[in-house]
Amino acid sequence: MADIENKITQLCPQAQVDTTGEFPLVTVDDAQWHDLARALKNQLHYDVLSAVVGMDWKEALGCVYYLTNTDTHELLHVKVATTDRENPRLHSVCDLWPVANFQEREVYDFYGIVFIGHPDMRRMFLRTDWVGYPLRKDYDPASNPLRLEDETNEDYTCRWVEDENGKVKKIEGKVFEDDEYVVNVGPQHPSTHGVMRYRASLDGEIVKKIDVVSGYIHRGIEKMCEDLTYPQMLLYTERMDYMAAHINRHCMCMCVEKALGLEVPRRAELIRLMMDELMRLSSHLLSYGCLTMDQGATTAFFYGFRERELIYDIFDRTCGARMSMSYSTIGGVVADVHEDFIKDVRNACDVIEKALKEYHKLFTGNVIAVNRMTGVGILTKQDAIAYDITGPSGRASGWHCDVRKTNPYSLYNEFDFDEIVYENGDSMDRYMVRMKEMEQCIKILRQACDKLEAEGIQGEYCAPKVPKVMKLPAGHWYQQVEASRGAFGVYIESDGNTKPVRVHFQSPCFNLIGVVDLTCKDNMIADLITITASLDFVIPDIDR
Amino acid sequence: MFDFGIVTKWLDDLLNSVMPGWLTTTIECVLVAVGLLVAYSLIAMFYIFYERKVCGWIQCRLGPMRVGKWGLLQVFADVIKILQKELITLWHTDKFLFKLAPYLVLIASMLTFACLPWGKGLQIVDMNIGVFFIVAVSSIGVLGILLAGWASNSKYTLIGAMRSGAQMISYELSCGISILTIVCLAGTMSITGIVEAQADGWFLFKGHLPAILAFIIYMIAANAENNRGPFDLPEAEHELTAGYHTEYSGIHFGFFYLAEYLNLFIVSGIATLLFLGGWMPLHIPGWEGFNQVMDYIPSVVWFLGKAFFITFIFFWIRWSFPRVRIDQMLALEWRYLMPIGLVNLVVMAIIVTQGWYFGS
Amino acid sequence: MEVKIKSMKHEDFKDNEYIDNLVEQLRAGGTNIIVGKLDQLMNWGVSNSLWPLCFGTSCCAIEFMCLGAARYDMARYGFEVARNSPRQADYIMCQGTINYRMAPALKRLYEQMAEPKYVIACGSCTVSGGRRVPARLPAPSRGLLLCPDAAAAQDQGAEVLWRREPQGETGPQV
Repeated sequence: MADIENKITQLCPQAQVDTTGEFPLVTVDDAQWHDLARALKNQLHYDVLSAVVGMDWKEALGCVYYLTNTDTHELLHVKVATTDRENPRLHSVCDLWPVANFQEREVYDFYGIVFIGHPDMRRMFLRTDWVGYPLRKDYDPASNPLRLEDETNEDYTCRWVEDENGKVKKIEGKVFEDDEYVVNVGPQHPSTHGVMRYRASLDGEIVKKIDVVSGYIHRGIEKMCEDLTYPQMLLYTERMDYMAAHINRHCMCMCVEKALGLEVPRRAELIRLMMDELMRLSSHLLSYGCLTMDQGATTAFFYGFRERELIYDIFDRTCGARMSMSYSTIGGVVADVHEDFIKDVRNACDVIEKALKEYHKLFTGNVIAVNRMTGVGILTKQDAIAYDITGPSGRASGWHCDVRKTNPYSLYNEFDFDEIVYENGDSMDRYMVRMKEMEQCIKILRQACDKLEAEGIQGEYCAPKVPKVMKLPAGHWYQQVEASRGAFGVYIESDGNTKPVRVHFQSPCFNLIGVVDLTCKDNMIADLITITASLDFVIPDIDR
Repeated sequence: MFDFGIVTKWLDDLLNSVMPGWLTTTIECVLVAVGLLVAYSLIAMFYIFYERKVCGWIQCRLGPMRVGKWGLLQVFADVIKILQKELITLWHTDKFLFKLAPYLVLIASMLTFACLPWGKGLQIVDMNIGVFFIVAVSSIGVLGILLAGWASNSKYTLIGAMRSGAQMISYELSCGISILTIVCLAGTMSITGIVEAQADGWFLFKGHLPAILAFIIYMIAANAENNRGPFDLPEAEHELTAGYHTEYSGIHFGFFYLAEYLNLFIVSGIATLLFLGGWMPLHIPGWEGFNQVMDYIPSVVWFLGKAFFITFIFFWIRWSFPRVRIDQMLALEWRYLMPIGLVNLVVMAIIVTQGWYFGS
Repeated sequence: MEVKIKSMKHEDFKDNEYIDNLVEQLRAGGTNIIVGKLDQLMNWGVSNSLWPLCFGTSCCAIEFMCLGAARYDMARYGFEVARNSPRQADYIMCQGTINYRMAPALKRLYEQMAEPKYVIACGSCTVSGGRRVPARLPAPSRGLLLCPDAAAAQDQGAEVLWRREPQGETGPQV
């Protein structure tokens, strides 16, 4: 870390680097931020911006940027703040990392920070007529009563530019021109996998531009977490990407355990890992079912769900619930597994392995399916990195981004499994990555069953001394895991109390909607459905 | 084989003996119309049930089970419910066209329904251009769909209607060409004539290669004509919610729903007529005992049985394959089916003139 | 209240409950047996052919998909035809949280549905938190709030609607 500190001070002498935490934290003023960002990207190869976390430090408003180096997989945090609470402004980094487009819109929505140079400075999740900025500490919840009238469509946008004297000016613009044929897809629509709204400008059947309007399931989870204790917060991690419920909860538990310095017993780690993989398997089966159903092959959907019921039965018997299992807890798991667990998991693995072959026969080789998916919605590796598309969609574009391999956590180091990477980045590849990953899940599960059997029938499933009242020491912690749809991260900033100052969930699906416009341009409406189905996002994960 | 002409002749004589000619004709028309409407409704209801059960069977589930034994009364419940749903009238739509659209679709399917060869002596009107009439009249359905999409005053429905228009007009050509191929083999366009020409063997076997090819082309084209199966873009549920009939509720939607299933029966009926012998029983040359037994089964049963079998194949295709995209669908028609169909027609013409078919 | 069906003025018509009361009065006063039986037939038809609207916001929607899938087959009751257009659907199963942004959309969907229409609230978000349209029937009917509403519980809720509708017992509950 010391050499990073040296390099950064060389690039920007005014920056302060704090290397006491897990990752280096650079604090820099807004005036030097954009230049430092460019240098970090081009010279130090920090080419992935994982998250832009808005912060309200009472006396200052600002952001913390998470940067990753794809060669060394090292993380870097950069803190940029402004003390002007009336008109907070920071420079945008959209031109360097396109993923910042939506991330900065989110920060503007919640904190009111205007990003200079951002091409489309509009709210992201809240209603167009929303008053105030909710995640600020001085926000008044009574300022927005429930309104049952429709909000007006956002046809106008604006951007802020800075001239050479440093004067900032607002320029109005339009989202769609007057003569464009704009069709509304959603929020109630069978294929959007939830409540997502796209406004698509069409030319006949060809899509010219898509404006993504999200926020229809925005529940303010991050704001709610600021009023909850750490064990209470675990509930919400499962309701975001509910198809990776266990994995997300595992991530949160790991983050808190890291902060408290708790050591989780091996048996608990093994059980958590098995549940993670079962969850991943059920998520990919759902993704298969929904993709095929969106293409019109409804029967494959039923077959996929038939296999998922086996996994649900295992969850039901072990954890008491089928979907949001609430099984991990801080320190381990809530209860030990039942005696038939290993037998059930092995049985499920056998059945699903056979079923996968049937799925390939039914759908993958079908000439219609091949024609609908091959060459459709190509996402190049550069775009995947620029937009931080992790998970199966990123791996389909050739980017080796599996967190289980790059920054291994839990017991993944001990397992022998392949990272599935394809080259073309079209919908067919994204589909095939998921199908192959299911085979890898089964491989991991079989190895895990053997290991768990070796551990014995019962054992220590939770750390012995878990504090009843959890106060994380002052500071910030970050943990990333490989959820079913990409890298899910939890960021906690604490000031030593039982409730955190800020919790941010880095959601993999949020970045995926950033590429919907990119991949769907100049394709047909039917391709829009195929592409969004192959990108496979879950809307509550986007909206949180 | 039992000739229903005996029954109709008896009724005709009976009526003629008690009333003047014009009244007889009127009463007979009314009777036939009522009979057709009843048959239309019953077959539509059977088809809805048939599809749900077959679909359930393919998807490893049971389908309707609670309403009546094995769910037999399910469709009656559906019909009763649809009849009492509120008919929503929209503002800013062309109300006349909006209300006319489902009736056009219904009229088209009823007109073709009336021309099918129900059984020996059960042909309602035997025109000498029977098949040509069917092809012509089935085009009215396209108009209904386009009107539905246009008159709903919604962008979605318009897209659905445009897709449907392009699709149905394109595939009518392939349908027509494959029908012409068989007309070539039969030598007549009259429906009764085509059926009777298959007394010594169904055209599918008689015409060997070109007939089999025409059958395959017809199956694909008819599937597309019906907006079913891999070609259900106009009402692509997963893209355009409900496509051209999104804004219809109650019985108007019921008409579209009904007409879709009836059209399926009609194209199956036409496939049966052209390729599988209409109401002709299955005769194997040389097996006289077997042929005698086959003759005992009434002709209506033969016709319906064959139509249901072809429908089963349509269901199978629909529930197995994903949907094609609009450009792929149009490419399939214009680049593949039509040229192959035309070449097939020429081949069939040569075969017929040279007498190179079975039973010549 | 004087019951005059034929000459009821447009202003006198208020809402469905008003008509329901008229029907009760007619029944109590001894209506014609044919009309009574016809009423029962209509109710039977409606209850056995309730088509849901595909509406899922959050986690409960996955359990709704499981409800439609092969194990908890809702096609058994005739509910399999899940329509996407609200004009053709009979009931909305509110699956998942309805937030401030979604509320106007839900209201619009409800208004677009054709009468007779019902709403089932599923899961703890819809039943216990926030505003919603008058839900006729919370699911499951035994008062256990699950998160997400498991497919078996949703099955139970749908079955309750299926059973109670013919008796006309589905007035506002909550």
